Amino acid sequence: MGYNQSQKLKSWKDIPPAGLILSPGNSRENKTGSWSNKKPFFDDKKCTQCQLCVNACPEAAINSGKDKKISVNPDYCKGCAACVEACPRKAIKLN
Amino acid sequence: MLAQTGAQAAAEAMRQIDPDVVPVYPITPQTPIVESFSKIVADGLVNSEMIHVESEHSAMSAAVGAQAAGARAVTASSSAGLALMFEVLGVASGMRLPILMNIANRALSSPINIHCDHSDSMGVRDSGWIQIYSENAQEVYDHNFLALKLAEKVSLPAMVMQDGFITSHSLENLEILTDEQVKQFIGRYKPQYPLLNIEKPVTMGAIQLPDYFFETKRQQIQAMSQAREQYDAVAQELSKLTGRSYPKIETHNLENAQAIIVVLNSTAGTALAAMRKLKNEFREKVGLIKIRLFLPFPQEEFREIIKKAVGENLKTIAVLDRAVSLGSDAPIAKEIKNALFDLSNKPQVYSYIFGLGGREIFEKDIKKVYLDLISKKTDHQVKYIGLRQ
Amino acid sequence: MPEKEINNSPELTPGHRTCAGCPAPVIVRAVLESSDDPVVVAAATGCLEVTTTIYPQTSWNVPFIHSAFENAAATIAGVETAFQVLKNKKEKIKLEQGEGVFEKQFGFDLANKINFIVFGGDGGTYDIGLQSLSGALERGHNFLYVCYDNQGYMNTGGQRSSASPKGADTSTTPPGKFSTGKTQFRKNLMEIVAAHDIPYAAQASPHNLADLRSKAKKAFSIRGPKFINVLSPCPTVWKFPPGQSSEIAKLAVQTRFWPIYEIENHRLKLNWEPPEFTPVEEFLKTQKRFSHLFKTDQGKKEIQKIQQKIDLEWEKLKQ
Repeated sequence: MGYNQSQKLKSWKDIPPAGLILSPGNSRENKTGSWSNKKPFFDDKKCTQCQLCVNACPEAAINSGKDKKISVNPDYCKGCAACVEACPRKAIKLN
Repeated sequence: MLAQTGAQAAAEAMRQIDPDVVPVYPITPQTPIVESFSKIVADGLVNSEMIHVESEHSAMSAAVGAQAAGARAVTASSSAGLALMFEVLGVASGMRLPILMNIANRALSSPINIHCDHSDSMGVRDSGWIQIYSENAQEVYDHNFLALKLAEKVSLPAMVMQDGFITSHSLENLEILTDEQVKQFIGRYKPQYPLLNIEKPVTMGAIQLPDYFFETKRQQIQAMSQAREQYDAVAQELSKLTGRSYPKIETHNLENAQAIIVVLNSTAGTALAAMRKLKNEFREKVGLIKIRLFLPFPQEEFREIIKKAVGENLKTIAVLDRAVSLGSDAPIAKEIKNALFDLSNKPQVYSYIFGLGGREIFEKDIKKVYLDLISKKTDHQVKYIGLRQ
Repeated sequence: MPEKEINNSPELTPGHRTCAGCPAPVIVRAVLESSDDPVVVAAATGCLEVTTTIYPQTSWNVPFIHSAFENAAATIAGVETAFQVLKNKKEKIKLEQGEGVFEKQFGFDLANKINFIVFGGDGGTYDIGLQSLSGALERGHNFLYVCYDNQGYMNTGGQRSSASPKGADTSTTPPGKFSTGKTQFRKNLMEIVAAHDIPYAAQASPHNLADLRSKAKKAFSIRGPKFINVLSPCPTVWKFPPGQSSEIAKLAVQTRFWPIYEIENHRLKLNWEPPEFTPVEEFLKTQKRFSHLFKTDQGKKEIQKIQQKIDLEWEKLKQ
């Protein structure tokens, strides 16, 4: 997290000027999956791969794999259950 | 040689700079700058796009957006407009964007007053902008290039001041450089991290918590120091083109001077005339210091100049401020006293307030100050020139 | 190859600190993904901006700028104008000096088309940002403004904004002995935006992302100022279980609390009419911020007033 990085900083000279962040999308380092123990489980039998859950996830943590199998990336899932609500087949359960 | 007002001189300098984006909002007495430039744009003399924003806050915000995008942005304001954009002045400086702004000094409200005093630019001293003050239209013109080049060298924004109405609306002689000379001097703006670079996306204006904020500020402090160091080289380069000189602190007749007046902007011209007449009339040793670079304040230079003068004959300094810092010493007086603190032999420093809300100051007033200094008819109480006491 | 393609991530990457269940990132992704051309984003201070850019981390995989609270529209006006000017410069240099010279002189390549997007919360759009929004719309800059309307100053703990609905329990309009929550109805920002004669304005909801995407796509195909107002139910302050933002947004649309429509070239088009009447209570009872209204007679009178206003606004839309 940010605090670990800031401890590594030795001097004010070692960061870019003006508070610029030059690594786009580096918030990926922050694994928000630690916010919740609850993660969704997908019932393959009910799932029709409609992708509504993929779009509904605020963390972009639900992926549609090569074989169109839906899975969650536990590194980022905050356990909010938006995917559970979004699924029209009730194929997702939060545990 | 042209006949131009200070406002027109600023617009002419802007024409030759040919900034990419010019977001402006009118306010007396800066309006002629904006109007003159609008005519320049309408006649197709520049590639600039003007944005006629709906407030000064938006003017500076648009300037921030444009400069962050990777373009050159220039704007102008005064008084309440400058006060309104105060929040964004800090943003521009913190984001290290070398925006150029022309200020036609005008009193801050309340009471509302459209005439000249320095409460507006002095009021924003802590915002992190380089401040250069101009005595006349020629200096306004020259300083625009000086400020822009210095600003881009250290990545800090800069403002060029002129007295509202007194300089901005008075017709004077103006010697201009050729367009080519200006282009060569200011060069092309090459942004280090342009927002419009899609290949290398940057995030600007992130929130910094206590674990990083201090370091970013320290960088800004360093940039201001660098502005002080790099100023002379830029000024000398401009001198070669114009034949005029731009010392941070301009001195007149300091050799063996017993009494010195310190002042900036147009009153320096009045004071110079008064000083010369006094020299002829009374053979008194009186001198004048005109401050050109006010921020970053050239403490060391000032100390050295005064140290030398004290070693000769200097006994007293009168600092003439056209602004008050309510609850404390006047802005320039405070800087002077602070700069001289470490000198073992100090002259007496007396603070004078004049010209608030456009109250006129005449040569005879300056003459009286000199005479008071010489005859030691002064004390450490703040004096007011031209006030009905 | 652009850096963002290398890391193979969406335009808004995970790892941001939005509350669990916040629909704002969903809205942002839907809008960004609807752009075929590269985008540059500006944001007003608020939930989205703060949670996605805590130094030294950023969730933005696209160029992003935040300057202050009330000036996001003015900031993007500057960026967009700079783009036009630099584009003209590039064309001129190409004609006079050939290809690749602009890149060498300016140090970067300029894309041919960029979609400029501003994300502002209701605070930074309805209230403090209204002036700069109005100015930017009036001047006709080419940008899309998306307001994620969570009906209050949520980033700072849920104070009321002019977008907060009547009767809402906010931290500055709490119910009490002498109060039933916010007294005023929410400001009708869409009418104000429409009065600027912009080519496209729309209201959308995060429960129907297909509709939101098509609106964003349509907006990107139009030159000039565009505005989309999206309801963003806030689980933390409205007080409902996090995963239900979408359901609640759907109820908001069904009860006509949040109508979905477009205004294109002065013509208003209702995108969806509920087939049957659903009383606004169905929407209000799902969130704790309205629970006090159900407990007193005065509160119930407020609910009636709310229903009346909704009916009135709906009639206006249908004309």
